Amino acid sequence: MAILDVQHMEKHFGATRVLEDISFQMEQGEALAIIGSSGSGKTTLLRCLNFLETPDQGKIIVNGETLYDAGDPATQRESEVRKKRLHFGLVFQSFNLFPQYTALENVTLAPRLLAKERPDFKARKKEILEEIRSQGRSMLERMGLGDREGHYPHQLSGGQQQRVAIARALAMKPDILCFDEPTSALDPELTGEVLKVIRELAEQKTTMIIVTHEMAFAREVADQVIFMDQGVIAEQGPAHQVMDHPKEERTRRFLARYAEGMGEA
Amino acid sequence: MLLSVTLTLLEGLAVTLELFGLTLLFALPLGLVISFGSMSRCAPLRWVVKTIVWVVRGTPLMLQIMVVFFGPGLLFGLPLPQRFTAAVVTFVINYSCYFSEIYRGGIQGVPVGQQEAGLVLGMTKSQVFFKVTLLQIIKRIVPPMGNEFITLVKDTALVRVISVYEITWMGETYIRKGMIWPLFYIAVFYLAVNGILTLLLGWLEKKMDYFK
Amino acid sequence: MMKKMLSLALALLLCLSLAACGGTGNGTDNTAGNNQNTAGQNDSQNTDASDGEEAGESDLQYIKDKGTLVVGMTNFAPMDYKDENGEWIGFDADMAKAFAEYLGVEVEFLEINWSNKLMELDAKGIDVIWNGMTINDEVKNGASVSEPYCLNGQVVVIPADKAEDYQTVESLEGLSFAAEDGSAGAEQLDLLGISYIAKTTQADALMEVAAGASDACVIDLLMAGAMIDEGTSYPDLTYTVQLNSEEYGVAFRTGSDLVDEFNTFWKEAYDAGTVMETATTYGVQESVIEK
Repeated sequence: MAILDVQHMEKHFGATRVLEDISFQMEQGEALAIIGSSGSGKTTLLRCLNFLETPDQGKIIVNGETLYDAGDPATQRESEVRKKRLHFGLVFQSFNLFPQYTALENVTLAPRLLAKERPDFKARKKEILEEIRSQGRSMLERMGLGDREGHYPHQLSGGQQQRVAIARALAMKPDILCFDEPTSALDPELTGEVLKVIRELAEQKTTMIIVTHEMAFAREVADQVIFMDQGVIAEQGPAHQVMDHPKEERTRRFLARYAEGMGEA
Repeated sequence: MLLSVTLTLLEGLAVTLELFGLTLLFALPLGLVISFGSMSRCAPLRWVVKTIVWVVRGTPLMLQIMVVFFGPGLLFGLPLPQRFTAAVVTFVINYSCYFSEIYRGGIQGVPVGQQEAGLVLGMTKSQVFFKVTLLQIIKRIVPPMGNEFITLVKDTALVRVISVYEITWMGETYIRKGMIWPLFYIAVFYLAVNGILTLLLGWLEKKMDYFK
Repeated sequence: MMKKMLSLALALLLCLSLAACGGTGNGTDNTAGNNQNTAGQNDSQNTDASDGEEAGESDLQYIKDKGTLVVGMTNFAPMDYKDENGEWIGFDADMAKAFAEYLGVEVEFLEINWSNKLMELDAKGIDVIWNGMTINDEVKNGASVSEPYCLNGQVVVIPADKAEDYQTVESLEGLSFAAEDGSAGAEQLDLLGISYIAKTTQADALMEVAAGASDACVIDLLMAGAMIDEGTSYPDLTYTVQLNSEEYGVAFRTGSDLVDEFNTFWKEAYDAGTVMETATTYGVQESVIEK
């Protein structure tokens, strides 16, 4: 069974149709790259999956459970949205770390708040918090930031901040981790360290959706690629096929622009 | 002579500080309510609140003091409010409008990505407010709030138009007795109060220097 | 509810600001709250909100029910000032105490902002203005005034070393003046067509001259007598030209029955010798009007 099944999703902002009839599936452990020019709807798609936007049409099904169905108001209750969000993690283009917390606190804040809802929290408070702490630490170590846990975001480089943000998203153990152009806000010399971390995650079979402009990276890391153009999925398929032998004319033109180094950053 | 003048002026200073303290006590929370009103999704409410803020900020505080105190008696023949109460009410209304604009700037100044990051991590809206955005708002509003606090200390002198005997009134009474220096001496008291305020606010700002 | 109250308050604020603006800048002031009278027609009757209700209600009864007579005044020696114990004394203060006793009520002195005196009276912040108040058109229009009880005049105050050159009205031209806003002194300067800096109190006007900010000021003769010349707070100042002679009165709310009550009280007190006795205590016996 597919871990994620998106069916006929649509989204408009006023009269503008941003997403049109988006349908795709993902398997457990797969990495999916979404490419396309700015304004093609890639980011909106990720935001819909994370319930930051509400789709006007369509369904989102995770592990067979219908999280969202535009035709069924029962699935849209505000109170349940919070829990549904936890199936997804999101790494933002601009990191969005909490400036007043250290790297470790950024990673452990949400797990600590969530743990308070556990029935055994009062009885095992110390134990639980210690566990969250050590998990947060090991998460930072995985990101190569073991020695930075006490640093505040403004004391870290952009690449380090983004790696903290990845650790923060992973700490919630999402089924699917989403990246929204994770290296676009970084200086070129800092993108490598972030891409390396994402590559490692892919090797460990983390289920991921990556919206990216790094074509070489997408080809190397992704199992599947979706090319979006003007709110629709123009082409989708195995990475090597879409990237190396695109069937669609517009995919070819898009990739050619990148090859010439003229694509947008 | 210096001692007796100082004691008299301290009496006035007590009134000044009482007005200052009560204004902050009520205007700080009321300002937050007004700022929510001015950011409300309900357009008529937003419009009403913004008009009120416009009128209150656009007219002289001294006039407002006189309206609140004399208005009920002159226009409706109602019994007059207590002078000090009228002063506090006017200051609370006036300053909460100023505070509301500062709150609004502080709230809207926190990038929306902060809230989204919190929500995506499964926090509730109130958790996001208290654990993520609140401190960032406070950091943003402390400097402009500090300016308002210092202005407030000096604005209290206006209530002497309705014969609330604060420190400037006390200083002025000496002129009627032919003594001019006490009027200038009151500056020392204002400076002392604002000096303490400046130190406190500086300390608070420094406390939040650890993040950007 | 709160919002309604607020908008109401704000509406009032705008009305009052208009009324206040209409009232300043000429010698024929109306009281605030009455913006129907056009400036210049100072003989037309006042149509204050308070008029209507007082027609059917006795001010005397109101004072008696309340049990206190609130006297609006300023610190203005020798009429009203505080002794070492903080007790209000002076010719006016002592007589006000006697009047309250005559009415059978307590007296309460309230220092007011003099420029708001008529508003305080109308709004019932105070019950009487009793503070060496010169009877002029402003108070006659905005209040009911007692029979005069004291003589006074407006005099020009000037540094003593320049006094010799300015002994006539004609010589005043070219001097810069200060005067209390809305006072009888300001009115005299208006009549002479001399411009002046408006101050909040007569004392402030004096201070202008003492500080050299203005060449001269116009204040009450009674006050000048008490506050300037050698042996006083302003030894370097003196007074020269007396511009007019005028009378002091006590002001009550328009149409108040306390006016008659006061006139009767004063006549009795004068006949009994109390008035002259008190006047002598404060050195103003020369000015008291014979009854």
